[in-house]
Amino acid sequence: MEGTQALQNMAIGQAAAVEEAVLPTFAEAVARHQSMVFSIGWHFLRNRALAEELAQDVFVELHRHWHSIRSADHLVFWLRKVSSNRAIDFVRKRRSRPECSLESTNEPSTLEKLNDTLLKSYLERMVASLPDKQRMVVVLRYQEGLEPEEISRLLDMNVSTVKTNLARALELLRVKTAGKLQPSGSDRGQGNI
Amino acid sequence: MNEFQEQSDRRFTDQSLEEQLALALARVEPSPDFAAGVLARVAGMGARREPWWKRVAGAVFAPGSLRWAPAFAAIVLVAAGTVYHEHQRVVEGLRAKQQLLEALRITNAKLQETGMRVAQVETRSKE
Repeated sequence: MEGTQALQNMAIGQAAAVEEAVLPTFAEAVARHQSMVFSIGWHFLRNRALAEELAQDVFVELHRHWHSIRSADHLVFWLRKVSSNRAIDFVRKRRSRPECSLESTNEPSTLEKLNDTLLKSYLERMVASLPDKQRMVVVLRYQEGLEPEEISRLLDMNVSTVKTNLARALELLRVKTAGKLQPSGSDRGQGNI
Repeated sequence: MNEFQEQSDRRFTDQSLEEQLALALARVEPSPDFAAGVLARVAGMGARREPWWKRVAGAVFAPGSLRWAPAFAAIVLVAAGTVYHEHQRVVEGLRAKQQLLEALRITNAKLQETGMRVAQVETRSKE
């Protein structure tokens, strides 16, 4: 019985892999990857309108280069690369970097421990206040779950530079969040962390 | 707090921070009409895109560009006149060269004939 289930799961997994490998139509690509592209812009720019504008520009650019997309994997790589680089350019050109800096972001002193929603919002603001490159590395690492080697290819950086940026960003975030994170098994059930 | 406890707390904090970052930076959906907006933009781009010869013709014969037509025609006429004039000069030069070569050939023949006659007269006078 378990063997049959395992085979079924394997077949489903293979079918999903085949589906992933086949290059979708442009409309399917937009529907499938819109959250990824939009989220890179959103987490980087922290402005919904700008993030949507950026995502639209990326997909329009994709339409122009559609003939050069070779596979589903290439499509994802292309979208991540163009989204992240455009987001960085976007900030540089429009000077729309979030105005709050890491130093000016006040720690919520009245709360001993932050609940999930507050912590999420707090972390988002903290990430938004990181320097451009560190911010993009953090977004690609934790939103997309990419390894430093993959990030280095997307951002045309050395792997060591990516690791350094990531370590510095985490150190800054760690300092700011010190004392607000607790074992997930202790009192997460009560909404505290 | 002993050293082991500090290291343990630090490891936990690192792990917890990364977990919380992954939660905070989870993907979010754009507005519901996002995909439709993209497809509309792309469709608009396609409709605007015309063949290159239509775009060139449109640019040349656009109402605003016709005011430059006389100037453009004058430039074309002057250029054509200059080219024609240069061509005529070359043709005349070639013709003059041919005439000169012909004159030299005739002169050469006459000189040879005269030389032969002089030589004959000298021979007779010696005899």
